[in-house]
Amino acid sequence: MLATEYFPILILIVLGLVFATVFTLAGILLGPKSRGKDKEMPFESGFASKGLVGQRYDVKFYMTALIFLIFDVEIVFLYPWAVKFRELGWFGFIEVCFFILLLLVSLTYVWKKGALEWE
Amino acid sequence: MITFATVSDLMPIIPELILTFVAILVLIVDLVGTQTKYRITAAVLSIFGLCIAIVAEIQLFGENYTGFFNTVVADEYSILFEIIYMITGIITIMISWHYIAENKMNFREYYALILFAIIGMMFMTSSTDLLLIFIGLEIMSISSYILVGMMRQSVKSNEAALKYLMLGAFSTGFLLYGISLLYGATASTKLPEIVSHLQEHGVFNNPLTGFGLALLVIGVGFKVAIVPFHMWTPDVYSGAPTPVTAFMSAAAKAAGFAMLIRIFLTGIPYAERWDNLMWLITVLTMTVGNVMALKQISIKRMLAYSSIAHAGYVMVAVVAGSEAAISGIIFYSLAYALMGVGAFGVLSIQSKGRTLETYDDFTGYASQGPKEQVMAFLMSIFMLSLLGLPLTAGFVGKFQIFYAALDAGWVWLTVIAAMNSVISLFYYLRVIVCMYMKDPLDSAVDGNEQPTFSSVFAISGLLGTAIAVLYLGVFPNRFVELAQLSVKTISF
Amino acid sequence: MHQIWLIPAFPLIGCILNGLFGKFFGKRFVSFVGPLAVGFAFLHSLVLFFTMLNTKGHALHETLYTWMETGSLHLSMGFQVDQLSGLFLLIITGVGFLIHVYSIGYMHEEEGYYRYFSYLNLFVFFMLLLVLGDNFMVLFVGWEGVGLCSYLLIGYYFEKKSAADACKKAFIVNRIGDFGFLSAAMLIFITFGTLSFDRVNEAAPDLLVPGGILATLITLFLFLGATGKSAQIPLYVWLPDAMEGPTPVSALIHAATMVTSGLYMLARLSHLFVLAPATMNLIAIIGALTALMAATIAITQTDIKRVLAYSTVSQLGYMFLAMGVGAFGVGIFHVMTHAFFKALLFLCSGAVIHSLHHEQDMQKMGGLKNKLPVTYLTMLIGTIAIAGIPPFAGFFSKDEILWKTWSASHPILWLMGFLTAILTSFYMFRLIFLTFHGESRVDPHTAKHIHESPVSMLAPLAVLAVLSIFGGFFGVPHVLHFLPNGIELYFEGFYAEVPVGHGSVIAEIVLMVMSVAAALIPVWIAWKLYAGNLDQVNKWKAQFKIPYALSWNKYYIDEIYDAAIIQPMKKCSTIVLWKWIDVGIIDRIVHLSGDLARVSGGMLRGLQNGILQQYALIFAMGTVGILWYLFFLPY
Repeated sequence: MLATEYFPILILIVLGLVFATVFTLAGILLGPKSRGKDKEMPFESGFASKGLVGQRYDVKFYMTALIFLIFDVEIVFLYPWAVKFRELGWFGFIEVCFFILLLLVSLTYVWKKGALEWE
Repeated sequence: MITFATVSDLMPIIPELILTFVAILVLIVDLVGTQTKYRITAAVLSIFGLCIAIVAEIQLFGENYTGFFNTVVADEYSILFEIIYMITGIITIMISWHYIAENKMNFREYYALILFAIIGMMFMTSSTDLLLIFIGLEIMSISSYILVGMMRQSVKSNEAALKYLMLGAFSTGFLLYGISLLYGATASTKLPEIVSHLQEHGVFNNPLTGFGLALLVIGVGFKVAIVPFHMWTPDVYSGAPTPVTAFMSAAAKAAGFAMLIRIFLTGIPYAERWDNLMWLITVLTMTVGNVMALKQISIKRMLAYSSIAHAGYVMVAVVAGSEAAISGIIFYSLAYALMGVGAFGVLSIQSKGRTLETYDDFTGYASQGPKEQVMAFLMSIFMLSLLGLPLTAGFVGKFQIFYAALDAGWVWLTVIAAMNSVISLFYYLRVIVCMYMKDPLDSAVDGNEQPTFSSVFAISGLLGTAIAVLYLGVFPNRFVELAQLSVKTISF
Repeated sequence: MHQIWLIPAFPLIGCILNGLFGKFFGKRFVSFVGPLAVGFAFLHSLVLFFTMLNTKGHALHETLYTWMETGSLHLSMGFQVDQLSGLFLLIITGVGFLIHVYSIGYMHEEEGYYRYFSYLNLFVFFMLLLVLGDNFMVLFVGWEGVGLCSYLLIGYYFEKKSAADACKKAFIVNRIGDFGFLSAAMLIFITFGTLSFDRVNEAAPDLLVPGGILATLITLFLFLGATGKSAQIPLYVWLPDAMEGPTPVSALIHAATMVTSGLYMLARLSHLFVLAPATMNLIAIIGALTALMAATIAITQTDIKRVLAYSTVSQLGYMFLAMGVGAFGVGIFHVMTHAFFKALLFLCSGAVIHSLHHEQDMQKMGGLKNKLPVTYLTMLIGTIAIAGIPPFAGFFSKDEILWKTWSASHPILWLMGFLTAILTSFYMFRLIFLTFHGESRVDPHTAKHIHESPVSMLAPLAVLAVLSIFGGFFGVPHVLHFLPNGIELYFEGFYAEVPVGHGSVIAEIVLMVMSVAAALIPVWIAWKLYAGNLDQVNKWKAQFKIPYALSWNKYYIDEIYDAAIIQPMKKCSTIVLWKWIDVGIIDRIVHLSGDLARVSGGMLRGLQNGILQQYALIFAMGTVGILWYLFFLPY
């Protein structure tokens, strides 16, 4: 039933699973365990750990980055249109105008919403 | 010679275009209007837009336009489903206004997002190209991720949105992988071509196609919350703002099923093990949903689980797969959209400054005042319809599905489904018992309140929904005929 | 067209008017609209009844609209009036009208007066749908609807916890019955391809093997449905508890109409039932058993309404006995006479309760004869009727049932019926004597306020009393040839023929004399025991402790059900669902996934959120399961 050419992949998957399971299980079963509050703390050369692991960034960075990304990608859409400009004709032209209009609307929206203000 | 799209290609997507236009308009109004004024304008504008789109759909009915190289079709089947989404949208917006005001979530993109979600659903339904279907699905999903997390100050809402986003992304991976496998095997993403390839070569003769289809089921299964891909439902449904829950449970699920039917019930050849698998999933979905709903304390969570059970009933029809079954699904989607939105809608309306969620909150609800009395009555209608009492839409829906399953020879499946619907009696009835046959708990606040305009607006929306539920129960035939007619248009 | 649809339309309009506007227009409006709606329905039923009698084939059909059409299934809102539904129509609307009138007085001081009448009208609407429907679909709509209304009306006094419990019990027990009914409908649809009564009855002899498995299975499921609605063993437990509702409701729903819908269904499908002799025998046995058991419980109860409730269960048992031996017409005849006298008895007990300010315990009554003369007289008539003393209504129908049982050569069932007749007469006269005779045991404070009920309550009593006296002449026994047996003429050709052995005339006369004796002697015993002081009774109570306790506690059936079914189910759900699945499996998976996450270290740390991960894990497991099923399971 199964095409034989996929058989190696199956073997690979099985082997991967077996290895992962065996070694994790070996770790759990064979390794010495001692648990406790001190033991589970991150090791910081004798100092008590402090502070958050993940540093918080100002959301403004993300906003600007996202807005840039969206407009950047959408402008790329103009290239294929430019290449096929003649074949697409007036219908294509109007459509692209509409597209740019929408981009403008969204730019206004972003602006008015204050996403472009830094302070 | 390369051909390009022309203006006539826009014909089948006119309703979508109208809605897009209105959604953008709603966003623009936000920029000019003041805050309170805007809310009314946005809500009214959205409802207005939906109404126009419905009119446009009705105009398209029977014309069978296709566009964009046959990737978008406006057949009766998709039109009927799209109208269901839009009706759900209208009711959702009617109940949202009140909820938004009371819960201080005046994020003005709310209505626009609902419209965008509906547009996504419409493309899911009316497209016959897997890629376009996928884009529709993503438009819907991303809108609903944001809607779920709209209640920004609530931790539960945030958590729900995050969970939904994570698991949604997870499932999207499966879906896309499935599409790419199918493309690899059949060299097309267009459903008619895939189907004809499968009819020629069989589903399981090439592992790629079988694998791809299975992954597609998993991806869609997540959206319609069938077991075992349902785990997100209770958390997300109970964390999300209630009108959003209503909207998702009704419209998003209907869209998922519309897509499922479009992909799987339009000519993919029969395979026994496929049927067995679906059978198993169906039974699991019904049973898990019903059993888990039994022991919930929160009605919102109970309804979330019960929506899983209802997805299970619809799956019964998917398994049956006959024309009668598909028309049953269409009817059931409409019925569930009405009664589900209605039930969640009652939960979304505050009583005396409190949000009602648990059975305890509803204890003695019917005797707390005139507004509460009306609400309790409406809730009873929705509960009775959900449990499938005759003369309600829920009964007709279940009847058609069970009948179709019986007719297709799935006797045991029907028996299991019937037993499940008996189980569901206990938790639906408990709501009515709580509201009518118990005294209010001490914590209930006495005293009257002036009904606000927004709450009257919401209640009138629910009243209309309740009337529709009863109307569909007493005079279902017109809609059944429509559904049957529309089924004829999807078989390729 | 005969406008059959108007009959249920009237009460529906009444329900809507009362429900929507009753609160604003006040009690006068409600007490006008409620009874009038049913009154109109009665008049129209009367017209249609006689039209039906004068129509060839005795059946009027009318299809209102197509309810649903899918595939080969065509379901319509179709109504039919024939001998069977015609009779039921008259009972429902006639007795219903009287009870509505009675309710005006009885419910006058209650809160939510309009709500009560709205429910009551709704009940009549659904009951009419039930009997008018010409297919299973319409019957089922009515069937569920009356259940719902009964549920709403039992729970009417929702402040009382017992009322809330009782209505929950009623609904759940009824649902078990509904399950039987639906399964039967499903089988019938598979077998016959139609759900219309006429066509099923017509095709039954051709499509079903007499005595075959299929016929037996279908009829058994139908019978299960009937036991739920009509309170037979083992599903009778809800009816006595249903007495928590207002008394007129007990009279209408739990005595005259709804509880007979199971019998109606049996009679409607008689052609189907005669093909399954095993089921018929079971019906007869269950009927006789229920009759006897309920009667033995009734003799010790002290709550006046409970006595009547068990008496209803017992009388319903008689009717099933009649159906079981193939005497469908006689069973329906008893439905009719029973509707008259049982409604009368309930309404009278309501009048007593009303005048004693909701005292239902007969130990706190006594000597009310002089204070409530009209109630006493009418209740006495009802009692004579139910006890089976000629020439009152109950005698004819009950005697006919016993005679049919005997002539169908079921001597043991006959004996059970005969014993039940003795007990019936005994407990009913016990009720009369305890309530109206002897010394007054009413508490002195209440005693001052005892008064006869208003006219609106007494008039219905009078009408029902007249019907209880003369209603029996419809079906005079064969031996008394001076009158034609109306009931047999009436139902001629309607029911399936059952081969019935004909007993001799002498046997019939002997049995009749025995029945009369069985009705009269207990009256004397009851008089001796209960009319004076109760010393002798108390002595016997002490002497026969065990039988008394058994009867008083209703054979502990409720407790047995609780211990055998409800508790195990609760335990099962706690243990299996909660302990085993929830704690055992889900928790373990959660912990496991936590361990896994810890083990897998930094890889998944970014996504870590205990529960979310569990969801994803289950998702992934499901995926693996599906793929495994599809591709690695040998086919």
